Amino acid sequence: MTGSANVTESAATNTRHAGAMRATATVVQKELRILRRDWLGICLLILAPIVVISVAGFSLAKVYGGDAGAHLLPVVDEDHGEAGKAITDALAAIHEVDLRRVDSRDEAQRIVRDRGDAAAALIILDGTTTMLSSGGEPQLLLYTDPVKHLEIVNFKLLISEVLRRVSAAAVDRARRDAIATEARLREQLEEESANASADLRASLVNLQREASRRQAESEKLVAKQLLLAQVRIQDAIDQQLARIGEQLTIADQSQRAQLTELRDYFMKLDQSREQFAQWLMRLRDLAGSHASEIPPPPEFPLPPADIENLSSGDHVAIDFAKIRSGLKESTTLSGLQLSRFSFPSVSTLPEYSRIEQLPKIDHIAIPSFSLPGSIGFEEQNLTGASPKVNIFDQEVPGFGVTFVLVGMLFGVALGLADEREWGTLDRLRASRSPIAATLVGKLLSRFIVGLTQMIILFAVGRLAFGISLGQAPAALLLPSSAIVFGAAAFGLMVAALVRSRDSVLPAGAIAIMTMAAVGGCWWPQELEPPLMKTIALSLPTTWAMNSYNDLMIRHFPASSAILPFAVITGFGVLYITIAVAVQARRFL
Amino acid sequence: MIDTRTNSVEAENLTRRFGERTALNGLSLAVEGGEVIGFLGPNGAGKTTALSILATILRPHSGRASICGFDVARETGAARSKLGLVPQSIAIYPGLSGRENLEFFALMQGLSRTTAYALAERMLDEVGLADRAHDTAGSYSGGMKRRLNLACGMIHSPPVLLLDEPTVGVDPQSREWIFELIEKAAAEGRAVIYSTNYMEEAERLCHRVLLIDQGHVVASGTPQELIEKAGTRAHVRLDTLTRLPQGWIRGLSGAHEIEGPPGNGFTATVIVDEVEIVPEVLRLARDAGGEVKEFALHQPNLQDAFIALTGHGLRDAS
Repeated sequence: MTGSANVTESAATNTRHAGAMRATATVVQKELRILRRDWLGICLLILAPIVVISVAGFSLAKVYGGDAGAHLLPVVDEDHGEAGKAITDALAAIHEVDLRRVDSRDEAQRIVRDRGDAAAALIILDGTTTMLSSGGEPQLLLYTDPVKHLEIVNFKLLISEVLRRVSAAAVDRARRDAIATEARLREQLEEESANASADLRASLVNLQREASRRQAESEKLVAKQLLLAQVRIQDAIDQQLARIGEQLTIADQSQRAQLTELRDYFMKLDQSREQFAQWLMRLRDLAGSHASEIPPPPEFPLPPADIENLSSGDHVAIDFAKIRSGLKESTTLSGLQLSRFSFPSVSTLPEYSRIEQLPKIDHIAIPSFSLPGSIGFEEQNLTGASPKVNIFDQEVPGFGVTFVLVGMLFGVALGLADEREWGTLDRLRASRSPIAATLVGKLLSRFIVGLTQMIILFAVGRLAFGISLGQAPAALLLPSSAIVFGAAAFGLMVAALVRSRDSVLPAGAIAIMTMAAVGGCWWPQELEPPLMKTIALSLPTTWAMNSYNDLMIRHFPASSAILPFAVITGFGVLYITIAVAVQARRFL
Repeated sequence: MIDTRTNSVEAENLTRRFGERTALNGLSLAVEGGEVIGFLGPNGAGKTTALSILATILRPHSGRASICGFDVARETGAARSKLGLVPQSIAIYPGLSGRENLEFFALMQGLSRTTAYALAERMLDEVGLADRAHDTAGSYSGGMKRRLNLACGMIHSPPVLLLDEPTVGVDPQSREWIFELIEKAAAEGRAVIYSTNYMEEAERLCHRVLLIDQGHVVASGTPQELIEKAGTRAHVRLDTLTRLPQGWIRGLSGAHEIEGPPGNGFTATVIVDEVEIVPEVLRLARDAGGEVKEFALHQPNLQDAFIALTGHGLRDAS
């Protein structure tokens, strides 16, 4: 019984679901049929965005540095010099500049201020070339019309770049001149160096030769002088030795006489000692028994051995003859040699090879060669995409999103308000099909229309404006489908919140304009102040535009679109929840 | 075949408020199959609120109602399958043709495509739009739109029809088409609740009428019952060339003069108990020296009953 009831209930549920899906499909078909007959509406969905995108794209091209055509720039060349000509020629060569040479400042002022034909005029003051050549910092004059701010900024950038290039060219030419001068100087120096080197080498050879000659002469002279000196010294020594020999002979004789006396003394002394020993012996005999009591006699001191030897021998202690012969031998100058004198050798003079190592001219720093260069920069896009951005990469998705929002305001919000006013909504609510099927059908049909609209706009953007589709064109479906869903849900919320059809457009339009503007659909979000950027995160348009920028301009991979897709879808779910809650409250 | 034995619509003490204002206060009714019930009352009386509750698009704050036995609050889906709603506004898509409108609402009622197509053909014939079937509804006249509006509410042949002022702004010919369709539906056994502020329509179509004013049901019954309940009688209005003297009607039994509405000339209003004495009234006026330029006999109707019961007319803003 219970099983049967469950089967019945399940079948009823399936039937309900099938009925709801069929009703949804019926509503989608009805909506598309109505839209198909509304050619004006279809044109507005496609043509209006294309027109606006074209106008906005070409008008705002300069915001992204794109090609905005040539703008008139009157130039007054009061300098008539090289610098003035260089600046004028460089500006004339720029595609964005429509340069017009005018004769006077008055004429330039008329063009800018009175006729409004140009945003700025450039005056190249007299003396610019002279001042620049002399290392000064010449100033130019720029007349501007403040209303044309963007154009002026563009001109300023272009003129600054031209001035930088002209200045850099001047510096570069000075550097080239200096390098040429340096080369010439170096050449001269090298030539002089070579000459000097050759001279030096010849001088050194001569010097070496002269030195060798002088050395030989000196050696001969010194040897001769030495020999002469040797003879003279030897004579002097011999004379001295003869005198010393005489003195030694006298001393020898004296010493021999003294030794004879000493020897006699020792003989007498020995005789006295023997006599004393005999006397003592006699004494002891005489003393008898008392002999033992006689104390031993004192010992005679012995004479020093050397003196005793002197006295005992026949030789003389000092051999004067030997001394004389030794002196004679040691004072002979015949062993003196000339080589014992050290003459400076010519071989210690610098060798020829060392001359080659003279300081090179390369190492000579010439101050005028270190002229300052100009600082430039090279842009490197960190995302890997081209640094040059197509303004339509911003405008196509931006205005596409705007018109999707507008389409949803008309299609969903105004459509539902119409249905409420016509009474069809009440009739559908009172029908067998659930009202959710009606709403889903309406949202689904508008989702199809909105997504088709975006795809067509991207196709037109690609073909007509050459927009980038990023590295994964299919990934653009993620932000597109999300924002179309979010916009449809927003339309539903507007329809639920407003009380009457008349309120839909004012309320919805204000909300849409705010969402589009703050969300970065009309201009790059980077132009907005930080606070507004933070506030913008509460809008689905911001996330959509960020995602489009990531995919189209930064060339990020498809995975970068997942988070924005989720966030925008979340916004859509929130809007639907609010719409259902408000509507349910009215029903209850 | 529609079962007419049970009450198709039942309501008991329905109340609905919008903020501080009570739009409907204690409405009770029972409608059988084949019966046409009129909600008669001025704009803002609560008629549309009552119909919206019965059509399940508005919840009552108190009371209960059912369609063919299905509670409108708890068995909404089943109740919806038994009813057809014709809103006061022209609830059709101007961008679709008459046929497409009919087919669309038929499909939304769960009918098959084949059936929807066949019923659309039949309804186009019945409302006299067959020759304009392929034209967009936006190009229809007001009367044609009203007829299409009615057809869209009836295409799935529901046992209960809820019609909210379906003849507003239509020409007599279209009105007649609509009346005939309603009478036919009733004849087929459908229960019809017809909301209007035209007493003539209520008198023409409705078996019973609920006089509704400021959310309250003032009285209910057949039109005749309501007129009698209100105690209103027929009166004769006379426009004369000269002023009638005081007491000119005195002496005629069953007639007395009341102060009539101000006019440009000389006007007298006489209430009569029976219409048979009207010739006598005219004779007395002539005898009194007042040459009758024009006279009108006004039979008592629901408007009179409404005025008598509420103190104001059906077209007055409440």
